[in-house]
Amino acid sequence: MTDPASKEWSLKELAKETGVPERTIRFYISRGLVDPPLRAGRDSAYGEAHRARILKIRELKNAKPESGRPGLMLADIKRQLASRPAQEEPAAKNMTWFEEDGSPILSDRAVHFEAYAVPSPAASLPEPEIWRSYEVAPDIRVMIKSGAKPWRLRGLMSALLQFASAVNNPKAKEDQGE
Amino acid sequence: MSNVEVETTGFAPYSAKTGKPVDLAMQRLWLVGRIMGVGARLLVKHVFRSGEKKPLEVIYGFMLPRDAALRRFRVTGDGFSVTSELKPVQQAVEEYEKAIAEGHLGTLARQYRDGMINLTIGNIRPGEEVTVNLEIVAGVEMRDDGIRFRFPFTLAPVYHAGARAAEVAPGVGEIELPEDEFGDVVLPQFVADASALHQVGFDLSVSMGNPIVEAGSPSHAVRVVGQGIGRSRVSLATAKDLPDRDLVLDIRTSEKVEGVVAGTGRRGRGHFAAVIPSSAFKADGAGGEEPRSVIFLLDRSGSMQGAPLDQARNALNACLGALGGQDHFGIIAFDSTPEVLGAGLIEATMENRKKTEALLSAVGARGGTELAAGIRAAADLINKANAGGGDVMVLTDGQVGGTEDILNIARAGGIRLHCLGIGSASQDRFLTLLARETGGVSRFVTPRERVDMSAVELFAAVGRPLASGLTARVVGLAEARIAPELPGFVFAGTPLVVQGDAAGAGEGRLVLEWEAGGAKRSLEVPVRIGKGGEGETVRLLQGARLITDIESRYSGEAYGAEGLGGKREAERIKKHLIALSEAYGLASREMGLVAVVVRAGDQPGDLPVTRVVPVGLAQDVAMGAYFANLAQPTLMRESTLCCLIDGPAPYPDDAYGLPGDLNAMSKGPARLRKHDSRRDALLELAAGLDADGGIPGKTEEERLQATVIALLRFLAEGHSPMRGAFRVHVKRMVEFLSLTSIEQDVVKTVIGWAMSGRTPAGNWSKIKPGRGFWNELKKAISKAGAA
Repeated sequence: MTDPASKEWSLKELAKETGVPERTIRFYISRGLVDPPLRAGRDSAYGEAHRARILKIRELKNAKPESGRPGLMLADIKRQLASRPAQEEPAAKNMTWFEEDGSPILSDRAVHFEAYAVPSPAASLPEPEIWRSYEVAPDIRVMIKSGAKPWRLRGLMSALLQFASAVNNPKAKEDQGE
Repeated sequence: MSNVEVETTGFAPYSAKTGKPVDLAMQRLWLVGRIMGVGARLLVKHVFRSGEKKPLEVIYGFMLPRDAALRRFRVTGDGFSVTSELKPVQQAVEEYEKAIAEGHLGTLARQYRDGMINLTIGNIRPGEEVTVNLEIVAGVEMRDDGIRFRFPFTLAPVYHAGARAAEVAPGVGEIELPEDEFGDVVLPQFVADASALHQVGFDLSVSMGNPIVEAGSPSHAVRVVGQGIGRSRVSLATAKDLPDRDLVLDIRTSEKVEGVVAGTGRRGRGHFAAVIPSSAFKADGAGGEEPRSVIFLLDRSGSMQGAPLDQARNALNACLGALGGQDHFGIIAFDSTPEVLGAGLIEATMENRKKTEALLSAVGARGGTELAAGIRAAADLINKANAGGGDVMVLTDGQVGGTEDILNIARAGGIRLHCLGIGSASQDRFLTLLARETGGVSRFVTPRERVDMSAVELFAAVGRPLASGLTARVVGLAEARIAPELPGFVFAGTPLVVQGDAAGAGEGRLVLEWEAGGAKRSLEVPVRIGKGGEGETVRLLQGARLITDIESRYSGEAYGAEGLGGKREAERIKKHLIALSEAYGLASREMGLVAVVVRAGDQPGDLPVTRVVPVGLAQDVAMGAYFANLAQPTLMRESTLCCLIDGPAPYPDDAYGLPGDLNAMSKGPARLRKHDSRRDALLELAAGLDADGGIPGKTEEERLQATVIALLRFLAEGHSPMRGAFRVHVKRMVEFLSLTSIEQDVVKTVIGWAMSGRTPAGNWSKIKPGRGFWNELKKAISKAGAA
């Protein structure tokens, strides 16, 4: 049986498979939203990762307000997808935050931002969004939107702690000559 | 060129050294062609050059002018020149994609909703230069004394409830439209600084049936060369210009534009376009004027902030001064939602107008441009008042998306819409349709012209129709038909154009019949169709107009309509469009243009890099009015903006406020300021007219004196009951004065000047009502009379 992950498509076949026109797929590739083909030239082909990424882009782009998640622009989507392949999600694991001296972080450093900075009459200002900013390392800051459900927040915190541990690991710093 | 280091920041390629965009895919856009009294045949030359290291695919998005269609294009390069073919859209796309996959040069011109075009050229080789000459047929805005021609060199940001907009890099904005409604159309990036973008220019010949007395442009510096009676050449005065505003040309003739342009087309069939000036429909002594109901629909979206909104407010107040006590009016200000100011449709008494003026002064700019909601609100207001139909005057700068849906709503509203488009890239095509489909008139004004004067002029023109219930037939020509359908009304200042065709050459006559003042009237126009002549041009203009009209009914909802009725209608429109495209050889939303060039050495499979040609943000549009900043790294919010314009942004200082004279810029700043204050004074006077046509005052004598002086001030500026933007106001003042028994000799003299169109020189504003007024006035009149 053919492994679905090894299936390949030409650009034309990929367009038919995903319902996205060929020109649009080229557009996505040029914008860095989708990787170039697996091979160039006459045998150029696209794989499952391409297919999944294109479908993910469509999902993010075409979300309707009723679903609670408005559609995103390509610029937003690129940022959102930049750090991970389309089909992977980070696993939440238990972790502890650490200060630079190795002591655990006892409280988060939350900073509130107004999401809209456009000056306009107060009557027409939309409701601001609140984001909490966590300084995970001196050169790394993570923003999490306020108002997440408790179970979601627990998972995010857990992932953050693991991430913080990884980037602040004294041994890792030693290896990099710090 | 490729030695320059290029960084991509988000989606805008900039030179790492200079910070300016590099490797422009499109180098130049040049417009040539011929403009006539009935339309234009244009050739747009696009020069593309690849500075990429890989094959290049370029997408250029632009808007069609009013009543326009693509005819064909020719793609040329080193050793090749290929003409496009007209094919069903899907087939054209497949041929294009096949060409790209095989490494050939593919070119596709495809039309989407709202008259939007994507010209896509794929597989331009590194260093290769390719030129696409695209032929377009377009309409013109016709007036009794000339024409106004507009061609889009840029695009204004589109408002749509489902659109997403953001500033993706400093000074670079993007808009994305929902694909389920707009397909895979690609809009250009909007760049605040157009100085590094492609060059634009033009060189056009103009031929009118009458001598041309004035040819100029409120948008560009032009060079005009006379080439015989009724013919001129108008070209860009400088070597090149920027793509940050539409081209607008004004052509005025010494006599009224009228006559028949005709000939046989390429298939031997005869085609004609008859132009009948509105003055032909005026009936002296026609019946009394009926009361009017007028709604003013004012765009208060964020982009109207500053001069446009200020002037629109002044204009509305002045227009109210043209209404009598028996008329009714209402004002609706709209942005993301419509707001009815005051009590809705009310009598045009002085008291109601003053209350409305106070409400208007509090209207500020904010929000998006939900024109459909505004139109619905206006229709509701008129229908609720059982006003039996009414006029709606729309003042808007908005370029809106999904125009077919808005047009469907407008048609169902049962109201007549007159549109004044404001801005350097307002959507002339859509506003023309909006007015025409509802029986109204449309005009547009550029940033260098005054919104208030243009609004008052338009309001005066659409006071009451000169003719309604128009019918037409052709006698004496075989197989003759009239197409497209006649408009519902004729308004002062706008000629009637009747297009039709017949079996071939021959002589006949066009018989027009209409109603005016309760009586039936008729007119005959001889139609002589010779062999050849302008037949092919008239045929193409007819086709472009028919396609435009049908496409205006091809909405997103109908396209993907639910239910049998909707789908059946969509299928019917689709078939009609295909038939029209094939009959006239013109592209439409169902038929695209495609060309494939097979070059020696073409290699299949090498994926081209895709670039979208950016355009300059229209020069009167502020970036912040449309695009929120996505680039701030600390504001990593999801883009939830579904409406453009959350708030007003700083307005460019030098837009709006200059007088409407052609080439006024060349007259110097001091004179311009003088013009402004005089017109401002007239606007204020017009807004102050009482319901009976007189200027308010404490006593009858005071009112009489103030009204005589006001009338003289209007006359001195060239206005009369027959002429000028304030003609309705002048007429009302004359009617008020003719009822007086005080100082009849003096008053009769002034009324006589008004009716004869005289322009009495004098500083009339210095004569103030009060003691000694009549003696002072008699001396001044005597002096002016002797001059």
